[in-house]
Amino acid sequence: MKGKRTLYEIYWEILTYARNPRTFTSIVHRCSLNSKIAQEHIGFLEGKGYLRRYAEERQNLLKTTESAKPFLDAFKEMYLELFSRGPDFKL
Amino acid sequence: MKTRTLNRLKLELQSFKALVIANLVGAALSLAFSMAYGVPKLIPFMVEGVLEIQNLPYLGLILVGFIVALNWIITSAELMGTHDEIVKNLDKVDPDDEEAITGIIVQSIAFYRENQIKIEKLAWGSRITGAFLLLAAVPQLRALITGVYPFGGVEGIAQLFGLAANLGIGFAGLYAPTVIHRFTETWDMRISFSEEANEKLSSILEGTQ
Repeated sequence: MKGKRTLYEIYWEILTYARNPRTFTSIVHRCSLNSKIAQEHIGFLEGKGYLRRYAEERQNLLKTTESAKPFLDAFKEMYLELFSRGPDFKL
Repeated sequence: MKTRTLNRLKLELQSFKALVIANLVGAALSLAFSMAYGVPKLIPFMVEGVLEIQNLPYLGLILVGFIVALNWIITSAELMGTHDEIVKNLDKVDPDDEEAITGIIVQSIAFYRENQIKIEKLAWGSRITGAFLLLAAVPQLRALITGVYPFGGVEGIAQLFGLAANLGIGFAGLYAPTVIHRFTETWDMRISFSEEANEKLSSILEGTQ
């Protein structure tokens, strides 16, 4: 994804994408991050218990945990609300 | 709520796309006009090396118009490229998939944050080109009034069409910033709501572990 994203938007993208088990590299590509930044974000989310790391078929995978649900739900609700609050733009 | 959100998102993205296309068309026409006026005036200078003094202000104006219009085209095309990706992604979204809709919202907000300056620049490009086209209409109007081309003849009719197009696009160019301002106002408000949302998300994150 291109554009200027906030930290929380990046967290949301990582957690949403990692609902299905993903490798570190695929998260880096999908979320358009560089390895160093991705490592920091993933480390933070692991620390919060939102992401779990495990090995399967000799692959190191990351998966979003149930603990991330309140964050993901709140994010979705608030961002959907952005388009139902305030004025809209049309030609 | 999600259907309403999706419809609103679609309408806004399509409106912005239409606005950028109108800007592209306006810029392309301005470029064409400036070349159409400029080249015949430059030919004697290039062939004989003689430049008539009374043509100098027009030449300056044409040059400025050319540069602004070119810049305007580039900015519009850049905006169009990125924005089109979001519109294409939106077309693939299932109306019941709240997560995918949220993804498009995140993409749109990130797009606006990144291109805010370019969008404001678009308004200035539009304003300057509008003014340029109205100024460029002056010699055309003078030629029409003084009867340089016989009224009713092919050249006269072409002159009249040219003048009408110049005035039409010129006024549209001056009006476009009002529409762009409405767009930026709506999005600035949305960005400020998203900042509030981010504060709440921060407290959710701080609350865990």
